[in-house]
Amino acid sequence: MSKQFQFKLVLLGESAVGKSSLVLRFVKDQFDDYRESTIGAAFLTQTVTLDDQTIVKFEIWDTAGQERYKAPMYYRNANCAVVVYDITQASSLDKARTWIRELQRQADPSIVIALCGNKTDLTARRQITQEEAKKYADEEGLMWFETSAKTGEGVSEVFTAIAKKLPLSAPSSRTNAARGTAAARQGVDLNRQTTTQGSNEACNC
Amino acid sequence: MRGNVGKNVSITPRGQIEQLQIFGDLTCTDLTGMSHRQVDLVKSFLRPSENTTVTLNVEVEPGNVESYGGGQADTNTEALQCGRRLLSIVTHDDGVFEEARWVLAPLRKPGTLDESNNQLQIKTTSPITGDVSLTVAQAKQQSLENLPSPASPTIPGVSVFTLTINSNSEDVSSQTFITSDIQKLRKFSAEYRRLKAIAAKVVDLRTKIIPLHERLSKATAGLPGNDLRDISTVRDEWIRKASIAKATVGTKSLRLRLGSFNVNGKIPSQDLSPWLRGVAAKKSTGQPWISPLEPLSPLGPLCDLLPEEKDEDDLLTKSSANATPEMKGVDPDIFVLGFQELDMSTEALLYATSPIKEEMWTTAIFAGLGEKGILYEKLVSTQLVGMLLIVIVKKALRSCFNDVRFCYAGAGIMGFMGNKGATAVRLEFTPTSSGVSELASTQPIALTFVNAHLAAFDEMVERRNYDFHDLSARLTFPSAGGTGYDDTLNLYQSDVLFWMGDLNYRINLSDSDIRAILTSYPDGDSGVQHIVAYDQLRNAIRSNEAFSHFVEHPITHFPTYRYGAGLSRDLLGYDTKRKPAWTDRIMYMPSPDIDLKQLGYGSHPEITLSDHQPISADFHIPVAIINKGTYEEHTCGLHRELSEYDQSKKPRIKVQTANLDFGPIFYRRPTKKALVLLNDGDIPCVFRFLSAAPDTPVAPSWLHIEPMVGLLRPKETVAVTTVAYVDDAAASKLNLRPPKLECTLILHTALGKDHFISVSGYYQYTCFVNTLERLARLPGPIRNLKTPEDLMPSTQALNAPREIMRLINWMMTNSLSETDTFFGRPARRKLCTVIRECLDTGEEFPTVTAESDRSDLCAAVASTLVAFLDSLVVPVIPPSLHARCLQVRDRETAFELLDEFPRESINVWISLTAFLHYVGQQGSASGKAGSRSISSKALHLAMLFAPILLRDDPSGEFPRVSLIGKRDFLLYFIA
Repeated sequence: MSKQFQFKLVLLGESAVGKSSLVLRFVKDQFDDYRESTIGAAFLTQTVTLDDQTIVKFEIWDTAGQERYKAPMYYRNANCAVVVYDITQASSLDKARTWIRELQRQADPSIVIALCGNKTDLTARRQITQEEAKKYADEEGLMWFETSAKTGEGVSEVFTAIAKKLPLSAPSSRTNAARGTAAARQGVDLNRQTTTQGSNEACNC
Repeated sequence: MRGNVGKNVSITPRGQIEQLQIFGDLTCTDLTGMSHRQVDLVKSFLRPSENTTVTLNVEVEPGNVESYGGGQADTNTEALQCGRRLLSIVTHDDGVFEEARWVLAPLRKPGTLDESNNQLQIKTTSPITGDVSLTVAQAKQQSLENLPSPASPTIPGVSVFTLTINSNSEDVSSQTFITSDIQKLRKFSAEYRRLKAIAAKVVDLRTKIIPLHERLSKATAGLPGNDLRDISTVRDEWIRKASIAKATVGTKSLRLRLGSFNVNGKIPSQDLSPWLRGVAAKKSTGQPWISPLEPLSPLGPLCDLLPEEKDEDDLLTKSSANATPEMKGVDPDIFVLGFQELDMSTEALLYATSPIKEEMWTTAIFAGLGEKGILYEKLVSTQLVGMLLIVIVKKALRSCFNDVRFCYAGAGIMGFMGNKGATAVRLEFTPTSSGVSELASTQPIALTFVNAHLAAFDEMVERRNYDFHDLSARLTFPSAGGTGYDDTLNLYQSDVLFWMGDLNYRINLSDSDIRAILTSYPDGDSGVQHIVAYDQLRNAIRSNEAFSHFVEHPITHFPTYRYGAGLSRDLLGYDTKRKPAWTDRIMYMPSPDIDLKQLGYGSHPEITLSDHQPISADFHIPVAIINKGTYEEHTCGLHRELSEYDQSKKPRIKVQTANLDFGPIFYRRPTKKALVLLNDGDIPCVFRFLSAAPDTPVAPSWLHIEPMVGLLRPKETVAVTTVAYVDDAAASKLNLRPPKLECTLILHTALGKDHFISVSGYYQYTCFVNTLERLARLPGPIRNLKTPEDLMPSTQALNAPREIMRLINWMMTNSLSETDTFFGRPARRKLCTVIRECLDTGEEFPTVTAESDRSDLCAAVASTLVAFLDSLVVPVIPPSLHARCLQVRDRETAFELLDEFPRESINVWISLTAFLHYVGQQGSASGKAGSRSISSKALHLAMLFAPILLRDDPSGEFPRVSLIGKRDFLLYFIA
C-alpha cells in the first residue's frame, strides 16, 4: 500500500500577485480572469502523487495579501510556504522578501519555503528578471519557480517539487501536535490516522 | 468508507422524525454479538461523529405494519418483507454533549443483506426524550400465532418479547416490535433508560452560565478546532432558544419572599409580621447626601452599556431595585424561611430533634401573616438540629408545586455534626394558564433553596469557604422514587439556586473602624457602602474562592450581628465584644434563561428577640409558560431542517461590512457599529470570531462584539453589534499610545473560510486615568497632543495639573453662597460628560442662567472632580506614604508630612483641602456656630475623599491602612 502524508502549506505575498489563482489552478485546474481579492483566508486541500506512489496531501491556507489586514499568523505550524510575487511588479518582490524574513524569524525553523514568480504569460511586461530572483533565492536557500496560473505553466511542478523536498521519513519527533489537529503535525501518516479533521476536498472560496 | 447520507436516507414525512439532544457523559457500549456487516450497514448512514450503541433485529408486530409508516402494505408478502427491521440507538458524541435517538431501518429482502446495501433505508428516527417511553413484555399468544414463525429466521420460536415505543407527542404514534434476542433486548432497554434518565435531568447551572463561545473548541486563525462539534453545540443551543420562543404562550409572575433568621435558641416572643410582611429597612434616608461615583459596572455585558447611550441624561444614582411598584400590594406566592440556632441544647446535637420548636415557629409565622394566613399552607420543611427550612405556599397554587425534595448535611464538629451545616429544598413549579386550556402540558422550572449555618469567628474565612464547597458537593436530593432509574439531583441542577442563612462572614476592618464609620454616618448609606467593600463574603465571591457566580443585591442595611440584650452595648446597640458584621445573607444564582429580579433586601430591626436581626429579600420570577407539545414539534422541525449534512455543499458567509471605521473614540462613551453578515450559501452556517494567535483575545480591550457566535440559515442576515468603549483599564493604556487604533477581526465560518474585518478608530485623549505628574507636563489641553510624548520637560512642569485647578477655581468662584449644591445632589450624567470634555479640550465650561440648571451644573462639576481624582492611576497620596499619614497625631505634623509628597501632589492637596475646608465651614456656620467639634459636613467630605485621595494599592505591596485613620488625616486639613 502506498504511503500517505499530510502537510500544512501557506500562501503568502502581496495583494493581486495571483495567490488564489495559483491555488485554483492547482486544486481545480481552473482560471478566473476577474477574481475578487481575498479578504480573509480560505482552506483547501489537494493531493500530489509522487513517482514512488507516495501520496502527499496538502492542507492549503490561502491568505489575504492586503497590507491593511494585519495578517494573523496563518503560517503558524506550517510545513511549507509558497511566497508569491508578480514578475510584472517590481515592488511585489520586495514584499516577498519581507514575508520571507518574517518566516525565517517566526515560523518553524524546518519550514520549506518556495519563492514563486507568477504571471509568466505577461512576459512582455516583465520587471523582475529570472536572474535577480534566482540569485536571491539561492542566497536565502529557497526553492524558486516561475508560473502562470492563467496558462497553468509550472503550477503543478511547484507543489510536486515541494512534496519531494518535504521530509517523508518518519514523522518529526517535535511535539507541536498539542492542539490535536492534523494540521499541527509534521507529516502525518494518513494510513495510521483513521479520522482526520477537515476532510473537505474541494475549494471553499 | 462512509455512505453519502444525503442520497440514501429516505426522509419520512414531516413530523415523523425528531431529534433532541441529551446531555450527559455517555460511553459507547460494545457491539459484541452484532454482525459486523449489520453494524457497518447502519454506520454507513451516520455522520462521522455518530455512533450506534446498540442495534437490534426486530420484526414488526403483525397488524401494526401500516401504523408506523412502513409503507403501503398491499399484500401479505410485502408486509412480511417489510416486517424485518434494524432498530439502533445512535448517540452523537461531540465530546461535551451527546445527542441520542433511535433509528429504525427496514430490511427489504430477508437473507440478501450482503448484496443489497442500498435496500436499507432509515424509516424513522426519534429522539430519546423524557416524553418517550419503552415497554417490554412477553409476546401475547395471538401475536405469535399471526407470525409466520417458520419463515422468519430471527424467531426460533422460543421466548419472544414485544417492545413498544410510546410517545406523548402526537406526531409519533406508538410502535410495537417483536424480537427473540433477549440479551440484546435487555441491553437495548438498559441503554434506552440510561439515556432517558440523562435527558430528563436538568442541566447544571454551572454549565449553563458558561457563555456559548467559551463552550466551543479552542481555535485560532489557521488552527481550526473541532468544527463539527462546534456546529452541533451552536445548533442545539440555537434550536433550544428558537423552540422556547415559539412555544412560549404566556408568563406567570412568581413572587417569592425569602427570609433568614438566627434566633439564638430563643422562642418566638415577638410579632414576626415586620419580617414576613414589612418592607425591609434601608438606612439611607431619601437622597444620598453624596452623589456616588460611577454607578455602572465598568463594562459588564454590552446590554449594560446600551441604555446609557439611549438615555444619557439619567441621574447618576444607583439603579434602585428596591420598592419596584410591581411588588407593592402583592402577596408573595411562596415564602421560604430559613432559621438557624433554633435549638441550642446539647441534646439536640446528639439525638433526633423534637418537632416542638418547629411547631412553635410555624405557628408564629402564620400568626405573623395575620389575616392573610388562611391563604397559605406549609408545603415542606426540613430540619437539622438548629437549622430549619420552611416553605409556605399560597393554597391556590399548591397543585403547581411538585417533585418536592429535601436534604441536609452537617458540617459542624468533626466535619459532620449538625451544629453547623445546611438544609435544602428543591421543588418544581409548573405554571398553569387559565386562559390557555388546550395546553397538554407545560414545562416546570426548578427552584432550589439552601439554608446554611457556616463556621463562626472572624479568622475562619477559609473554613467558611471550605464549608460552602463541601456542602455544595454533599447536599444532593435523592431520587423521588418510582422512575426506575437513579435521578439524584445536585444543588445546581436547577433554574435558580438560592442560598441563605447565617453564613458568618465578617468584615475585614478593625472593630473600632466599623463602629466609628457606622456611628459617624447614621443617617446616610455612605458608611455602609464604605464597609461593604471590606466584607469577607464579597471578597470571596470576587476572588472566586467561594460562592462564585452568586449574586447578592447591594447591601444598604446595617450589619445584622451582634445585637446585645443586657450585654454591654455601643451607641447603635451592637455588642461591644463582637465586631459587627453582615453574618446573615441571601444570595442567588440564576440560569441565563431566567429573568429574575430582586425587589428588596434588608434587615428588620423591629424584631429584637435574638442577637441577630432577621433579613428578608423579595424576588420576582417571570416563569415562561411553555407548551411542551409545540416545543417538541419545533425542536424536531428545526433539527430536521438544520441537521441535513451534505458534503457537496459549502457554508458561505458574506460580510457586508468589510471595514468598521469608528471615527473618534472617546473615553467612557460607547460607539456602536453594526457588522452585517449574510448566509449566501445553500446550507445553514455557523460562524464565530477567532483570535489571531493562541492566548490572545479576539478583540482589543476597547472593542466588544455581540454575539461572538451565531448560526445563519440560508439567505438570513444578522447584524453583529460591535461597540468601541474605553473604560479605565483601556484608557490607562491608550492614553500613552499613538491615537490611531487599528485591528483585524477574524470571522471564522465553521468548515469554511475565514473573513478579515479591519477595524479602525481615532482615540481621543482624556485627562482622566492619567498620573498627576504627566498631566502637569502637558503643554496645553490633552486633546491637542499629537503624540503621547509631546510633553514639556519635567523641569518646566506646572505646579499642579490645570484640569484640577480649573474645577476647583470654578467651584470657588461660581457658588460661594450655595455650597450645598456641590455634593448634596445627584449629578446628571450628560452634563458630567460635557464638563469632562471641556477639561480635555480646554473649552469653557457651559454657562447657565436658570437656577435649577445652575444647581445641576454645580453638582456635575463636583461629581466630575470626584470621578477625576478616583480615575488617577496613582492616588494623590501614593500608597507608600499611607502608613506615615496614619502615624500623624496632630495638625502640625500633618502639614510637615506634606514635604514628603510628590511635587505635583503637594499643590493639588493644598488647593483641594483648602476648598473642602471652605465647603465644610459653610455647612456648619448656620448650625452649631462656635462649636469646636467637627461639623458633620466636614466628616462627610472626609469620608468621601479620604478613600479616593489615599486609595489602597491593589497589588498589596503596601498594606492597607485603616479607613478611619485616612479620614482623620484628611480632617487635619479640612476641619
